[in-house]
Amino acid sequence: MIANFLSVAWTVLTDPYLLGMSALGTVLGITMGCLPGISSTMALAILLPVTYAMSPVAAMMFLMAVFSASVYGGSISAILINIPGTPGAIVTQLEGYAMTRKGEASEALTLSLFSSTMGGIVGLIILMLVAPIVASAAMQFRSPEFAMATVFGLTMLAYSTPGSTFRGILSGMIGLLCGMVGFDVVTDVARFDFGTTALQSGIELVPLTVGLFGLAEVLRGLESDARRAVTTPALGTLFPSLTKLRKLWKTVLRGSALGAIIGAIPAAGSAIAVAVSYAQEQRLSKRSAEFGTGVPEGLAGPEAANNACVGGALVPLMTLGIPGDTMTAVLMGALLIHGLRPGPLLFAERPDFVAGVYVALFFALVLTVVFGTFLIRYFVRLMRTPSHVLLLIIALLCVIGSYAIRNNVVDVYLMLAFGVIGYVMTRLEIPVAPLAFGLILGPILEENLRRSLIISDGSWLVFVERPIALTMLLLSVAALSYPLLRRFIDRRAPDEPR
Amino acid sequence: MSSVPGRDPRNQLAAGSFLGFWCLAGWWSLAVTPALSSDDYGVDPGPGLLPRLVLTILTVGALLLIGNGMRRMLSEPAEPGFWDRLRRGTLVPAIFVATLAIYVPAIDLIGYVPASVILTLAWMTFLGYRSREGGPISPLLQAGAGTAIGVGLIYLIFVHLIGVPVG
Repeated sequence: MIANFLSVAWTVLTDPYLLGMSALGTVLGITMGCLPGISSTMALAILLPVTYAMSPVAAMMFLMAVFSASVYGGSISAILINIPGTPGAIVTQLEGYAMTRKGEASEALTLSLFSSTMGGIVGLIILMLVAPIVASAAMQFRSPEFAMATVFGLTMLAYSTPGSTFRGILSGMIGLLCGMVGFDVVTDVARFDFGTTALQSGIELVPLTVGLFGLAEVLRGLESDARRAVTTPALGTLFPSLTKLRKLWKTVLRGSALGAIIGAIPAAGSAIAVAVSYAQEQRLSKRSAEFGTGVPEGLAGPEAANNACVGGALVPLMTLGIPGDTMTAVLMGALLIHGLRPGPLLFAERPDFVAGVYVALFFALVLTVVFGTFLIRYFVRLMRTPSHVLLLIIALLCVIGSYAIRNNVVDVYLMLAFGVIGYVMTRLEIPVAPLAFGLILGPILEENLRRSLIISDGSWLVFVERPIALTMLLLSVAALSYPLLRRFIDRRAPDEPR
Repeated sequence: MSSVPGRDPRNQLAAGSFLGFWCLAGWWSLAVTPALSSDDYGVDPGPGLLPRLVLTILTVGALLLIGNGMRRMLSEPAEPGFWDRLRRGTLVPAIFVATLAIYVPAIDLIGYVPASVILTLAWMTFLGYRSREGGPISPLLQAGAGTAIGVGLIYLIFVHLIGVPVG
């Protein structure tokens, strides 16, 4: 793997096009991450169509850079204007914005950048060490295990989605239904086409994700006519003080390890990792009483955890083909578009591509440091762009991006429909992310479910007779039962299952 | 809206109805496609197995939400203003979606650039006046600059570089 990594890294270094894609992705990732209202998922979803014409490696260089850099970008707005650009930056604003108010904005940004980078590198190392082991173990998986892994992934996402697990599961069911639209690959029977040829080729992932995560966000942004005057503080020197960095190395290491481990748990996500890291640093710090007033440890630990999650979240995606969160779900969509199916076989059949993913993440981290140090003042200026100008540009991107996948106007109408569906779901407090997961995981679940039943001659016991499949089934049942049990114990909870 | 899902019974009713709509569409589609109910696929459980499983779970879930919501509506005093809160702020997004639906065929009729310029210029001007964002720059000027940069960049990337065949 190291030889493959070095070989691909050399190829990238000597290929201006690949390096350029990584640089472009990094700049766009930081820019979109730092703009309030644009999440990392939204950035990935609306930039995914840009990669159609690229080779798989170039697409990965670009998207991994957007993914990783947008996570750092989210911290910039959290530190400077107290608005987290991404869910993982929620904790960043506690100490980061407090430092800005104390006149230490430059120090907070520098600390955030270097902690993020260190976290990202630790996450990458853990990914490189753990992924081959998990992939090798996953080679023993057969259809029943894959079917149950899919159920487990979907259940965990519904469980961890803010709001109600019950509604999350139902949202995932809508996603599964959407994944079944079109011709069945085994029997060639058209399903849920409602007599139109437009739906017979199925619902593509891109119109759905662009609609749910792009257009629906635009519609939410259009709801409010509130003024958002962004004023940003003046920035001083942006080079880190080595003495300060040396004092924080244990904090950064702890945050990185936590982030990578929590990120690798399907659906756990960066918001949990940063919260755990913040709590841990507060517990260990000699200045725990001062947390919330601009303590560097409270910024460095969560920032490292936030970026380490990127590497961690790639473990279930790359090894099992199950995305760990919505961002990796969009990345999975990108891989599928380019004819690559993540999972254990990818490690056996395309080790060069797997190494390419590692290299893409590595270059994204390095370039984030470079651009984050030298171009930060320009990124900060972009934050002053009026929100309605951004919303309109994003809407145009949503339309042309969904059209570009097949040059088919049906995809644009599907995107519009899913934008409205996502918007309505948010108004009704039904989680949206499981719907996208359902669409991605639906075909994998169906294929493996049917194959399992064929092997077992129609017996459903095949899922409880195999230890790994049974374990994942039990974990899924536990995740579903826990909210009901908690409600049973806590009588004050509302009537609806949570 | 209620900040905690399930707090307001009318939210449960609305969410259950939304999910129920998917169930109705799904079951109707299954009913009119006889091949999905057939068992004639040999050892393969057939293309109707997973749709039936998923629709059953979805239907049970939707009915639970609706039933719970109705039961609570009958037994609890209604909080005022729920439907107003649910509707608040939706007019502009609804009109925006409608204009996007017109914009798509307009690209075929008048070309990508003119259609995009009209859409963005009109909306940016309206939203600029509504929010009065952007400090001393007038909303119209801001809309002009935003349209030129936005449409120009998108045209350059998607039409010129990627070669997306739009009008």
